[in-house]
Amino acid sequence: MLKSLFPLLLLWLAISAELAYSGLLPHGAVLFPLAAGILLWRSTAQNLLIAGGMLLLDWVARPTVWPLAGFIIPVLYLFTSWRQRRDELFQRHRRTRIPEPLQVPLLTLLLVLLHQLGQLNESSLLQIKSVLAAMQQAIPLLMIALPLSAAMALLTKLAEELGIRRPVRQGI
Amino acid sequence: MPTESAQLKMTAASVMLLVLTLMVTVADRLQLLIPVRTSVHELLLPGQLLCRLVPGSFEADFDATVHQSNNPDSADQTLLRRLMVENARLRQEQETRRTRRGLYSEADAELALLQLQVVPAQVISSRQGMPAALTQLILDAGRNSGLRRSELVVEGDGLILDAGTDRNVQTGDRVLDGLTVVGRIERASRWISLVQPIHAEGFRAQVSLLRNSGGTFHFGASGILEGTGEALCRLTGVAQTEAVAVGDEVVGMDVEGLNGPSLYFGTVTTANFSSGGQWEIRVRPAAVPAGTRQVGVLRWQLQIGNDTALSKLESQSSRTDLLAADRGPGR
Repeated sequence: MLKSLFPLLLLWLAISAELAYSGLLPHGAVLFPLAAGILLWRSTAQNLLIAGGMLLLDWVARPTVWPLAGFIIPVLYLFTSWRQRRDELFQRHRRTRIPEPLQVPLLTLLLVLLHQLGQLNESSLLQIKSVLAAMQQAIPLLMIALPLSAAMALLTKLAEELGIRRPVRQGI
Repeated sequence: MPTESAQLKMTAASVMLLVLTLMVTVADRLQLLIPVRTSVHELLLPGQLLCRLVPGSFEADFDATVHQSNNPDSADQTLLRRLMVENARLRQEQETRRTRRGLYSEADAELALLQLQVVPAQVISSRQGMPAALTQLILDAGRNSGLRRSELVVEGDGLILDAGTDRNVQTGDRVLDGLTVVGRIERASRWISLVQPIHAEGFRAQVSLLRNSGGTFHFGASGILEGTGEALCRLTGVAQTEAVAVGDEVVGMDVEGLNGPSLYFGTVTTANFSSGGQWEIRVRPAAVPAGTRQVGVLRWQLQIGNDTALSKLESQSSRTDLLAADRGPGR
């Protein structure tokens, strides 16, 4: 119970901090790297529900057109799981894996990009100009989110070295 | 490697989350999340206060928030805030229904006491105002006729129209290019008038957002469109609990506070959260004053001595009498 309370509190504080300093912190600058970090720290059902649920709660509090950032997490897990099962079934051993230190920044990048896309309505989504403009607006957000996610990845590695965290071979 | 049961749990959690996300999205489209949104913000308020307690990071609105939370009547205030949100939602819903019902039908328009009139006008100056030579000519002509400089509209940065008070054009009237708002009359003299474009500093209009979702249009939040003196206008007064997206259209729901046709202002180009709990929205005006040659000045007119309206009203009342007679006295 306590194990799930800590990430919950952390994400709640991240949303609150972004709301309190909305002039300084763009939407998702702290929340996305933290959610990605929590999700990849231990890939459990609890962490999946907490990270996904808090992203959804954040969307309720600060709505965009589509909740794509919250939507991608379960989809991504189901896709990974399906691919793993397929490999097991066909006894494939040669699998392309993303290096572990890159997983948190890449997931953060994906969340940021989807969050930006989620701000566009249907007609704007089909216009390359609008999509490019939305991506350009993601730069200030990425300037905070990516270093933070790199720090999260380093922290995860450090925790492994210190024996706080068991190395997990299965990411999302 | 995770065990079979752990994988099963993860799959179940993913499916649950997926269903929850879909449900929340549908609920948002049906506008069922408005009370929930207020509760979520209240849930996050202690966290915000905690974050602001970090030394050296006090902001101007912190004191206001703390005082609000320490107030013994905070429960009442919360209730009041909820009621205000609900009230705004109901008002918006009523407004949308009124628009959808088509109150502005042809029959109603003919019988209405106030009727909209469009005065056609030509643009006689470019964006930079009136040419200097023409200004001097008008000043000289005015002086010869005993007019003073203050009685002539000869200066200003906006468009100059060839319609003035002689054609019932008055200060504050909206200037249209089709149904697109170009600006409003800033000053009107007898023969000509000066237009304040949408993007000019000092321009303000009450507007609403209109979202196109797959061919279906939904009215969204209302706010105040303000000219900034630059190419893009600013849309203020939209709370962060409202859904705003880049590409939303900006329309005016009324003309001078009266229910009239919806007028088009422009498109949302950027939408970010500002520190004041509101959206910071920039709007690109649809009208291009530099290329506009012919415009219409929109104004309400009082219809008192309208014979057509009177005959219509009489025919309607006689039809009502006939219907009452058909139904019989017992009913």
